[in-house]
Amino acid sequence: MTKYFFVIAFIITLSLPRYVHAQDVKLDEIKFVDIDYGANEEGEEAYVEVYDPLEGMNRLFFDFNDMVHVYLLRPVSIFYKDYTPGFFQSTVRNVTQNIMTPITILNALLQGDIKKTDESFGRFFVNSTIGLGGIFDVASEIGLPKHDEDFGQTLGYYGVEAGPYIVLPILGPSTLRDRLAGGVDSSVGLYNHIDANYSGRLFGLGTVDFYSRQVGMLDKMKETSIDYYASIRSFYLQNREGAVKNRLSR
Amino acid sequence: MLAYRLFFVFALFAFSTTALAERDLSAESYVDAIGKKYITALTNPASSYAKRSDKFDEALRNHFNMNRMGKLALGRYWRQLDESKREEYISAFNNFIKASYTIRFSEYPTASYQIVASKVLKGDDVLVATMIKSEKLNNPVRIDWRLSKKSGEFKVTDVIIEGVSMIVSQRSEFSSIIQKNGGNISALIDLLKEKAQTVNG
Repeated sequence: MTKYFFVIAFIITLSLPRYVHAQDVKLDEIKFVDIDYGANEEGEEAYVEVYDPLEGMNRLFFDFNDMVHVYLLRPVSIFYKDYTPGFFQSTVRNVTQNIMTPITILNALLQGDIKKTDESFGRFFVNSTIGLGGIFDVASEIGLPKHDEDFGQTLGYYGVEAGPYIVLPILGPSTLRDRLAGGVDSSVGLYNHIDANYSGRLFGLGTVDFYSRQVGMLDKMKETSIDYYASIRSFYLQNREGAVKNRLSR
Repeated sequence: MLAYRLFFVFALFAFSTTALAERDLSAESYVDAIGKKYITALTNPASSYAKRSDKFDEALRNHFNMNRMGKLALGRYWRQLDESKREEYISAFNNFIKASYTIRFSEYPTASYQIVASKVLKGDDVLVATMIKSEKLNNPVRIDWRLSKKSGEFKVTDVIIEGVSMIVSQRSEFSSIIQKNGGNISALIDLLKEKAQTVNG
């Protein structure tokens, strides 16, 4: 046992220097999108952004989910945020993120993204060992950036269209592609992983933690939107598209 | 483990060739100037709503091309408005954006930013990418600023936060409202006015 400990410690020590400057953003990694506002200076054509043939049903489930949020998830999350210790919260967050890392590793690999695979593997390795199973996010401390890749993004990377926007009760917003892909991710194990800004994660402590950090912004969006449903839909689809095209911060 | 390390030594070589993107340094310094002037004032939790709202108004007037933004946000419906309706819409759009984003800013923590890249697009618009960092944020947030030249000067025409364009989002919301009202654009204008008022009230 002691022998293994030293071997692992040695390997970790070897690995660290390689990661120290990983945080510096390099110019060639920044991807941009030239949004096509739709030949629109004089409004030549409609800008087609959303494919939402199930809008009627979606709005129904969206309202239902909003009620679940208002009466259940929101109060629980606010209690969690205000009354549980900070260390408990960071543990919940770090452990759930660590558990999900293999999904990122696998999908970064499937997309042939060596750098993300490498860094995510490094994260998983460092946090599972020195980070005591993910309780401490040591990887971030040494400058190993977090990434998020799931099977929906992999399919998108290889050209599979998102398909119709679908809101399901409890599970929240998604698209046909991502909903089907979610099954593959959860068979990799561990977690139903759909992580746009507005999450459709399954209920659990991870959900509460995630929601507790979004609740303020969601409240404000609801308050300042003239069509909350359309607002969230646009938000979700754009953010997802950015994730597929690797244009986000992680 | 050795194979793993060797693999990455190889990968490191493979990816060390850097293709330099086309940057626009004057656009970057323009964004930097806005950032220096406003980021603290807008995200300072100590300052009041009225103060932040004034600051934001000042930023919008000096650095944003609100006419163009309003036009883009309305999309194809713009053409259906006559001159006086256009003015009415742009003014309602202005107040709506000011009110709703001042509220949203109050959720943003005090942060620092870093300009990481820029790119000149077709038609001379420039995108400037910034990373926002804060102790309160788990991960850095990427914000892109789309600049276009108006009588020789840069003005902001879109803000893209983690892939979410302000113009695209507003347009999506606006067209949803117009469609719900059977193509009546005045219904949207009324709603914008109403919302700006309730949010301010």
